[in-house]
Amino acid sequence: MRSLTIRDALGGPWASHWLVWVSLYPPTTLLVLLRETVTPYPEWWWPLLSATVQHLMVGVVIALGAALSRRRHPVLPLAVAGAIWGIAAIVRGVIGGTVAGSVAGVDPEYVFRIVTWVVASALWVPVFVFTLAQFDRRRLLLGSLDAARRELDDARCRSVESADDVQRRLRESVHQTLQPVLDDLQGSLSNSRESVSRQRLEKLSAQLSRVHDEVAAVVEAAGSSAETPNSVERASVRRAFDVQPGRPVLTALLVAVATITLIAPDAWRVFGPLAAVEVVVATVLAGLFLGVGPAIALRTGHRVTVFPGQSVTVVSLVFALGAMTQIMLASEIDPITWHGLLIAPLIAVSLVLASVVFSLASALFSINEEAGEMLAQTRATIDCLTVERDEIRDRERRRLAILMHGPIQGRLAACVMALNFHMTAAPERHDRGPAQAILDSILTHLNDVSADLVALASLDERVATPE
Amino acid sequence: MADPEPTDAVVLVADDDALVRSVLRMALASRGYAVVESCNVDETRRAAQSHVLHLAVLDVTMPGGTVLDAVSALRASHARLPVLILSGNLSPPEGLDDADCEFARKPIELDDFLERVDRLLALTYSSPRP
Repeated sequence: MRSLTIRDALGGPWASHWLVWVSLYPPTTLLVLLRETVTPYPEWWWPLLSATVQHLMVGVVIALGAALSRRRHPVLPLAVAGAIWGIAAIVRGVIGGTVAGSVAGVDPEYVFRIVTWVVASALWVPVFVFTLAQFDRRRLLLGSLDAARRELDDARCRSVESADDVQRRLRESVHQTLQPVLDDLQGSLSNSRESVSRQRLEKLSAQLSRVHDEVAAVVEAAGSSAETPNSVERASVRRAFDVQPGRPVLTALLVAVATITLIAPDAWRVFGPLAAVEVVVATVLAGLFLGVGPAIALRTGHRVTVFPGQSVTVVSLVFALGAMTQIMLASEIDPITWHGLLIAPLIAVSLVLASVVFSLASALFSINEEAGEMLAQTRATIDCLTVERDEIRDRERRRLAILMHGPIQGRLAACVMALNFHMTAAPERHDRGPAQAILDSILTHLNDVSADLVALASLDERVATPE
Repeated sequence: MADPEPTDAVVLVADDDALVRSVLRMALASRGYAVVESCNVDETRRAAQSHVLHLAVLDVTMPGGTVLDAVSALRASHARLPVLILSGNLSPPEGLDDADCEFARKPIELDDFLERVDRLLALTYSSPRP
């Protein structure tokens, strides 16, 4: 499985996946609600409707843009993906401004709306898409690794089988397949000795030909039982989440920057500079909690039993949210408490989303690369074992073919020729003498074939050869 | 069926299976050809040394050597003798690089066998067909 490049991740199916679109609905709606807090809409639900229409149109732009672009590029070039997301952000700003201007009669503030949406999209969407693509790849890699390990176990079990074991299995398989057919043929021949007719001889000839062909087919197919490939299923979401956070300090910094960039401009615009300062302070403090906890856990090598990888991140996030709420509601940086009450949920959503997305993004890339290498190594070992086993099987099959050739296939061919030649050379003869003699010879041959089959199955190398 | 007129053509039938030799002999005799039999490579060599042969029908697997040994034993006394090699295998034996050798798969139909024999004999034996 080749590694996932930045272009694969950002231009692949996740670039326009419905899950990204659905996931971003709550935070964007909260942001629109905050933005429109002081817009004098005639009804309370107008901001909600505006947010929903914006999101629907964004979905249409992305789906349509991606569908059209994928006609030429199955994996979108980064510039194309960026352009689609940029256009979606502009559409969002234009719709928001138009609704505010036409319904509430205020200045649409197109520039502010478009710039903030473009900046928010540039900061959030690529990381979001990259993380989801890597997360999906991790689930697939874990599933593939599980399947490869099962396959490796099977291959190791099979590789323990010695050449003699393979030969024994091949011979048993040949014996089990052919003996009943041969018994049946011998029975028919014995009965035919009592009344030899041309029809009976023709029937016997056809039966013998089938047995001969079947011997050839059995030898050719011996031991080549179809191996059931292990099916690959994606690993569970819970298992894929179990990732040790990488670079926690950098992750916390990115979470804080993304959150501040998303919320502070609107807080300033709606509630004034003090509210913006409060947002910055609360987010920085939350970022400290988010960075310090995992960093200490990484240094001390601490692991807990449930969600071992992400548990420290979750605990840190709980503390970060607590600290952020405390600042927003009780710090008095912005003396009006309800400002903080309105902004805090948006910061909380932003912190949670950013923590998950940024911490996974930084960890998944390297972990997936390691898993990919492990998968490649496992596959190489399986291939190696399979090649060795195939070599043994082919060698033993050739050995079996040589053993089968004279005593069994050769005699059966002789029987077929004897009957055919007899029928063709003397079609209108009705005397039983020559036919009887040929049938006796054939029966003797078949008895020898039967005895050789038994000897073959019992690994007796001294299989009788024709005189 | 009237008995065929004997010809001077001599065919060597080399096969380790008596039943095969027997049916091939009957088939060849029905055309009036004289048949010399051998059941291994050594006997084949001796038969080639002691008879003037016009065609050899060889089994691919015989005791005493490979089919290549049998062919070279024939070539020692009959440089351009046509040889019909019968084998249970789908493909001709490996290493056989002899323009005068033809390969056929066993079991072979009587008509097919006799057609090949007549065609190969026509290369070395020019008397009218019986």
